[in-house]
Amino acid sequence: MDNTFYKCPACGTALQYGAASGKLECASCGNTYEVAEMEAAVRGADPQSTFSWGNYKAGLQANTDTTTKVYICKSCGAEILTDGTTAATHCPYCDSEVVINDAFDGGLRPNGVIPFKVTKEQMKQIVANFGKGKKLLPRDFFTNKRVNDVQGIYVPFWLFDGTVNGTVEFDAKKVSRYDDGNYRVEETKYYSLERGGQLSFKNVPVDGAVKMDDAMMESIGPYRFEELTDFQTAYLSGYLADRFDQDPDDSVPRAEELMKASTVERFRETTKGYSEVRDKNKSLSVSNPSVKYVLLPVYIINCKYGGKDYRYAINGQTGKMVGELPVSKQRRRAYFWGIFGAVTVILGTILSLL
Amino acid sequence: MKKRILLLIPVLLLMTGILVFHKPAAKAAGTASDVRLSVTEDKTSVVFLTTADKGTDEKPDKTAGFYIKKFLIAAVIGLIAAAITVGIMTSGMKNIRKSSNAKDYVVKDSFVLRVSEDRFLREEGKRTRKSN
Repeated sequence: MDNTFYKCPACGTALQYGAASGKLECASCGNTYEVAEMEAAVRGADPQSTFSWGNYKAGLQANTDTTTKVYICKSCGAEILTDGTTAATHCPYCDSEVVINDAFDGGLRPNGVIPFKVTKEQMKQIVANFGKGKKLLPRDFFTNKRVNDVQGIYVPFWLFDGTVNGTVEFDAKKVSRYDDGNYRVEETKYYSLERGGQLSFKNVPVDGAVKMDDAMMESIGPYRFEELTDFQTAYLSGYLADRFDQDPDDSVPRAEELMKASTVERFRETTKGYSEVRDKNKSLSVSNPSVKYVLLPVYIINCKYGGKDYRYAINGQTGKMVGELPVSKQRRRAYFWGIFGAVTVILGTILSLL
Repeated sequence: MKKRILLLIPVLLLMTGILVFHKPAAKAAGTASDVRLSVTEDKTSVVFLTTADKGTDEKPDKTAGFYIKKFLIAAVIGLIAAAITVGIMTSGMKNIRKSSNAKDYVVKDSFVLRVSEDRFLREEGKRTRKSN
């Protein structure tokens, strides 16, 4: 298995991709290098991605092996065991950043990547803001130790493009109420509505890593895909990266579901003046579909608190943080009885005086 | 926070005690006879004031039972309010939700509406006599 190790040409220290500068940085001598420059130096011109749906699927069938693999660190010579889907990692012995090239060979090479924009320094602020205003959060939960345990990872995503065509039938009604002498009159008019047309989508993301929680990955979106750049392994330096282990065929239904739901919603917006509108029959199909394989930046924070595991994800481009915070039972109890007491006393006093 | 709650308990007990055992002020100074002097000879007023003279002092109908009843009502409302507030606070601790649509990825100006028909089907009416 081949792997790439980005060394500083000046001092030989392992280089890391800097989210703030967008360059490869040397922590030892402070030099910075353009990604393309280092990429060319290490491996020559970057081979262009030749993605197409058919070829891509053929490549997948041959390369979705997720068994354990061994690679040799070029810096210290250690043999490191890794998950077959890992594309970039740290050498646990010399802490060098290593990119395992096999993971992107052939049909598995990503079409693009969004580099990390959020720095680890900015993340401390993001984490602090995430906990702000959360009255039930245990005070000692977000300590600096936990924030320092953050791991930047490039998560594999499928980006689907397509145009949804078709028609949707809605059941609708208009209800009017008025008084007629001593009577109250309620009139309901029933309608059948039909809307037809098309709506196009670009870069609908569905994560391609089974290990990642789907809801969590959907929650950290949206990404700004206009910043998607051609894939170069140098971007992975300093971060972990996973290869997809979920076939795009398995992700297509989810992408279609999202596109169709938006189309129905868009049609619904054209039905004005009704008291209630419900969709009845849908006849929708996706035309001109295409898919891209990309790597998107995500910071993952794993915490253990009160014997329970908590995982947080931060969008490495926009800084949006998602996750479930632990609830302090003590604080919850205090708020419950505090509110109960205050309402009882104030309301009881008011009622007694009436 | 715990200290604040502990401080709140005696305040709550004190206020409850004051309200339960507090008697309303005695009736206002002056009697019906004093007032009689200032009214005209209107018969209705005289009858009313005579009845008032015969009547007893304004007895407070706000007994301990009255306060307990009011405070029980307040306590039930307090429980509901506390449960709802804490429920909202707890649900705010999680912001992971699956997307329900792909509206963030719609291509600008790509929406084309080719069919737009509204067909009237039927009408139903209901007449109910007003309660009053």
